[in-house]
Amino acid sequence: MSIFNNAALLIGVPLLFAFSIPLFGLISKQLTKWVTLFVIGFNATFSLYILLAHKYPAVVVMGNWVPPFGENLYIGPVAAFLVSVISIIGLLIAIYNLWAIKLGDVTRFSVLFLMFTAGASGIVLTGDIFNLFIFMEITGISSYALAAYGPRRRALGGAFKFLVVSSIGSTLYLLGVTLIYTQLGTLNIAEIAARINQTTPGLLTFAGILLISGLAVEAELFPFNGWVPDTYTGAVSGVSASLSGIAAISGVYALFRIAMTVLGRDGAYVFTYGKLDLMTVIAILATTTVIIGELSALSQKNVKKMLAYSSMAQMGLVAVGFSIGSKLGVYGGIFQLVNHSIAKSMLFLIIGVLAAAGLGEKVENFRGLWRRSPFLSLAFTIGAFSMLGFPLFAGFWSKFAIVGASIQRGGWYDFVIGLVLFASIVEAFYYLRIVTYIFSSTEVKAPKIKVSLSPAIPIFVLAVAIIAIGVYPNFIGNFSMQSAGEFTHKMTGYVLNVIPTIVAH
Amino acid sequence: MTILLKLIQGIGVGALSIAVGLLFIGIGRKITARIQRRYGPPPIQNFFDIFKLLSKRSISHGFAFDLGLIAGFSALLAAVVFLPMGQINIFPHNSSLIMIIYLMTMAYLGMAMGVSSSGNPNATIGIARALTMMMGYEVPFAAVIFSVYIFSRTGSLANIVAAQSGGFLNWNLVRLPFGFVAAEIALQGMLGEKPFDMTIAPSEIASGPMVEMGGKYLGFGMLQHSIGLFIETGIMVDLFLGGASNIWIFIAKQFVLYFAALMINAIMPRFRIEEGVSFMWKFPLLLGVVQALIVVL
Amino acid sequence: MNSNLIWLVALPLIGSAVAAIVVRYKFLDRLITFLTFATTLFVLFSVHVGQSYSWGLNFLGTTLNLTLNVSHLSIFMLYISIAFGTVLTFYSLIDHSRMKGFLLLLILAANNWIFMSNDMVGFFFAWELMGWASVVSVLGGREREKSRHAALYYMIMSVSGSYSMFFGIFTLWRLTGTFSISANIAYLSSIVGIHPWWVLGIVSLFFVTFMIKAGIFPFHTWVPLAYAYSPDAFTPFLSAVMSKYGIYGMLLFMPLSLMERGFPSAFGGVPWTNYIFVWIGVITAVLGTVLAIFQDDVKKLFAYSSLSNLGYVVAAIALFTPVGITAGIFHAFNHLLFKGTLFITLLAVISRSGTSKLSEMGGLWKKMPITFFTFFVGIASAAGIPPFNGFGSKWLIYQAMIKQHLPFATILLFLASTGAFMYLFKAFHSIFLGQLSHDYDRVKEVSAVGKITEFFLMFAMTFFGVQPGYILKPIGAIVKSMGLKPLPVMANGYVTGMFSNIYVPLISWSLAVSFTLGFILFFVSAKHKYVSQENNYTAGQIPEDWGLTPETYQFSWNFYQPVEKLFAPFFRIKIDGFFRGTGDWTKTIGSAIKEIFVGNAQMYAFFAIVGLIIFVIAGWMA
Repeated sequence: MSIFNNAALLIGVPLLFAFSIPLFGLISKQLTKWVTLFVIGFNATFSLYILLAHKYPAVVVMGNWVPPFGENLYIGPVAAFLVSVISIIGLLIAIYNLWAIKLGDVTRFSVLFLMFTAGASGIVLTGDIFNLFIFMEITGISSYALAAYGPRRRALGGAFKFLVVSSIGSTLYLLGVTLIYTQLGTLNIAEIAARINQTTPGLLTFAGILLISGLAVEAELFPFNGWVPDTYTGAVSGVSASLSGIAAISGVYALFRIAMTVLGRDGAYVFTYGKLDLMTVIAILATTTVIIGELSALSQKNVKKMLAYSSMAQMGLVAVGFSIGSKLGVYGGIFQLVNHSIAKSMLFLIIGVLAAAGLGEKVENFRGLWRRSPFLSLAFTIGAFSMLGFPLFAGFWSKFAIVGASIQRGGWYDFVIGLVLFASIVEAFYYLRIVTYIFSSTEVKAPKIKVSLSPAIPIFVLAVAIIAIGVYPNFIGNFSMQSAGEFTHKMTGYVLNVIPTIVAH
Repeated sequence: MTILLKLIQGIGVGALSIAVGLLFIGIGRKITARIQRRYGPPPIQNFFDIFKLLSKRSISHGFAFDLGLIAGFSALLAAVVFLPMGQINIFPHNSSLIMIIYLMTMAYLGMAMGVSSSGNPNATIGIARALTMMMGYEVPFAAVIFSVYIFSRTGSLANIVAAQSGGFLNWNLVRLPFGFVAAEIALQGMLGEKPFDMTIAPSEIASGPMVEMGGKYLGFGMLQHSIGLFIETGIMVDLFLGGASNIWIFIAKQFVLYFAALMINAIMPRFRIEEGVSFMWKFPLLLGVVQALIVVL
Repeated sequence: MNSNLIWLVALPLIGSAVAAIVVRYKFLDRLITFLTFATTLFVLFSVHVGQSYSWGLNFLGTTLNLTLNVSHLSIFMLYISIAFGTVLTFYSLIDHSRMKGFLLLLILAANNWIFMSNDMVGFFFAWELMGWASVVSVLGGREREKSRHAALYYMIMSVSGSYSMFFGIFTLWRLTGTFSISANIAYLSSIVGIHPWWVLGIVSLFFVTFMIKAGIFPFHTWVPLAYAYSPDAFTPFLSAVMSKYGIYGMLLFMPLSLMERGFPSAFGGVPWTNYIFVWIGVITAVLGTVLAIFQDDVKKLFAYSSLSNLGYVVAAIALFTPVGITAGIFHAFNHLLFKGTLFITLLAVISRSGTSKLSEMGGLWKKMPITFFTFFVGIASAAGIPPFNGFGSKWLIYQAMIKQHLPFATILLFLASTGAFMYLFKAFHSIFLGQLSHDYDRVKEVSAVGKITEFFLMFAMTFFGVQPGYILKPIGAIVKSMGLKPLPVMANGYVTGMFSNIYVPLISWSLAVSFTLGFILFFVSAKHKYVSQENNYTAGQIPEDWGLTPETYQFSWNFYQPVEKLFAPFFRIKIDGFFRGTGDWTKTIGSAIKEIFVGNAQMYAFFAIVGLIIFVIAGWMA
């Protein structure tokens, strides 16, 4: 058990270094970035070890208090998988940051970035709804600050909007947690999940609504996602990449951990909300999000903003997958979540490199990019095609699974998926518009764009990952499948692993 | 041995069709002249003309010009051997009407290629008109053909003729009267007689396709016209007039049809091209469609 | 287990990866493409009907069996597509347009997979792969901006189609629990008698896709754009091979219509679903023809021509009678051959003259005689003139239609055929005949590789025209495998219809003899002398008086102006407008919705709170 007790290191090490980075900053500002890199590198190695050596499921107990009495971390298939993804993408973004973050307060940026990664990992790992709140706050606060980084004024505006909406979300979530605690007297996810039926139905409904609304902010579901476009557009590209690549994972995870494990029931979907079940509500929100996101992106001339809207829509698609509730649907949701993180963070990184080369963010500025930088053009095309779910690219398989699950579910999900597919046509249009601009050349001779090594590595790795997953989906697919089991079978998949003795009520 | 026999027969039929065609044109000139109160040339004048043209030196515009005119003549010569005419029926199992029509198309293509390669715009305008007109008359004619097909349950001209045997009342002329009228109007277009002679239209486009032809090229053009005349009237005879028991009756029936066309030609003015097409698509097509409806229902 | 099948997919993929690496060096890219095509063709020789190969893909929680299965239809399609691709890529060795070989190889992989796949996952995968690879291939035509728009337009149509099929695939899966194509079709045919409407609904989901890919009315609007503005070397493939995917898909589902008890017959014993489809085909044929007549861009003209020919194919196979299916597949083959040839010759012409505008060309026959002859044979085939290859299939199509007593559809098809002759001649005249402009004085014939290709294509068109049996026999096997009685094939030269037979070699002999006679007559008659192209009959005027130049004396503008007047009322109906309207409408809604995100923190907070309140109230009420 010793190594698993150390799984707390995944949170502890980054936090520890986050607070000690100012010390390194005294030596050299550049050093702090390398420290960040190595710490996240450690995280990535360690989480990959857990994942690949199959050291899960395992409960990590804090101070010998066995759950449900103490605080605990739970490393199930979901946690192991998502932490690995978070850490690896974090690592790649850290590599990119070596090159991108030069101006301003580099030290503070490093601190925040480490805190951000630690918080996101914490959300995924924790087994306690209050700790979930704390980690959400850590992630949240560090991401407002990160979003505000940079010379641009609009970064501040975006960060402020994020702050406002996110605070509302946190408050709602905390209220929900309080309600649950007054009812059950426990904060442990596993125990609440097992005893959820002991609560007063009306209060539970209210608490559920509060929790879901609060978490929908980070999961970018409409109408709680107002912050998305401005924040993504305002932030520097590395931060946008981390928001879409890391924060989105933890946000979606938190939402569905609460909605499916805590408030859910095995077999049946989730607890009822009036006559509807909660999953229906989430499905409606998710579908609305997809449509609003795609349609808003359609007429967008600013590529970064377009990507932000697209992020929103993709999160909606992920939520559609989860909301189906069948194993296949959740599988598709997780798979799509990971694919989206990979592709979208890569796209943002590319935008960052292009911005540094003096290319504007307008769609027209992409005209003739193929002549100027074949590498970035290909990478962008790969990312866009993955977003669209074209075969040979990662997105194909996850979209395939989500559509499959929806139609398998049948009923009004046929309608949902019809709308989603319509929105996908819109998506195809605006992504392809950029791709066609990239490959249509201009008459004016423009200089070549030089990509230095440190941004090139993450972009290259992510692009290769997209194609690798697209050609051989089994690898990620297996992890997604195990993870899906944890969500869909809450007792055997989660609760009994944490507290083996508990009896469901 | 049979091959040689068929070869000789084929050449004989070709020669016959040329002779008959030229004779028809000659008689036609005479009749037209008489209608217009002229004396007119003797009926065999066209044979002299051909001989004269073929023996005159001429100019050419290149090998496409030569080849096109040869193709125009030869393809029709190849088509005529498949036409059942009275007791002469060289290939009784190969007389699909659509095949003959498509084979004739090759002649038009060759002709069109030849005269267009001359580089005279009048020639090309003539060809464009001819093709437009072709679209006009082929539609009602197709309606008629397909009515006959469905009616006699066969697509082979020899069998269509066989299906009409046994007297006048079995002729398709009697059984499919609307179709006959439609086909008769279409034939007027096919022969390029008035009111559908915009292809030649000497006063507007200097005789159109023929503008660059001289000497043997004009001779080839005339030969083509004569075989075309023979095939087109022959098809009509086979389709509607019950074929014939021997070649002389066949030629007589052909002449009746040609005579009717001449009569109309002599008294009609010329349509404009789009008027011609829309006329074809109104009245004859309507008749053809009515005929097809009657046959199908 | 026949592992040679997997090589048909794997080889092009590997070749594509290699070619993508050397894409900077155009010749290497093309060379690898050609070699891969040739090797794939070689591998194909070892493939026989009945072979199958399957491998498991651990996906969707179960092991999906991806199955490749060689049916009579698939091997036929494989042979014709790969063989044509080999010829095209051989030609493209000397070509300078911006076609990317590695994309063509990706399409080849998808092509082989589509034709062999017996499971819908693989089919969809390959279909989508083919879709995006072809869209990217369309980019990079001579006119960049137009090519960009064309690619986008094509993309949207293609993606819409794929999603429709996506829906259909999973609906079937929900019903049967398997992705196997043959099992699903068997299932559909077992229930078509009980739930005809259900089956119709599901099948139409697939058919929308196939119609879009084949460019059938009313989804034809992308065809002229994509054909006209794609790279010149890619257009032959697009037209000859890629339009057949839709036809292949339709043929897969066609055996369903055997179950006539599901749907009452319309006229002539054709189930009314098929009857509608026959008319869709006929409308496509007529529409394509009429629009082709008025095009000035030669690639657009032949794009509409492709449309029209596919209309013929659809009309024929929709009959689902032995003659109909035979005629349809035969015509699909013939179209592949002659339209591929025509586009290859156009490639030669455009690369030499630098324009695709008919009104800017003319008189090129003196400069490019071999291309000229190839084009001539091509249009003769396309017009259905014996003894070239387009004839047999057109003839069979008429037979098939009349057999079912559908005279009106047949009449319209005949009209389309006559119209085809008009536009073919227009292209022929405007490119090759008439006056040669002095701009083209230095135009040369294509180089040796091009000449070899052209000779080969001419030979192929004549060979398959004279010996249609070589194609009709495999088609007979296909027809048999669909549960119909195949047409008898007496000898290689025979085409046997229901109403009559034709023996094409006889026609050829008759033509040979008559041409010999024609030539003899030509050479025994008086001599001729050649004159320059400006030496024309000009009604007594001397050309110098007029300032005559070849351009002014070339008739190629408003070629069929009277016909234009005739059809003017029909041009007001714009199908394209409907699609564009839908697009604009979506865009407008998009801009409106975008305004939700006003960029104001208070508003966003307000949204969140309102959302919450609606939640709560809804919870209360429900």
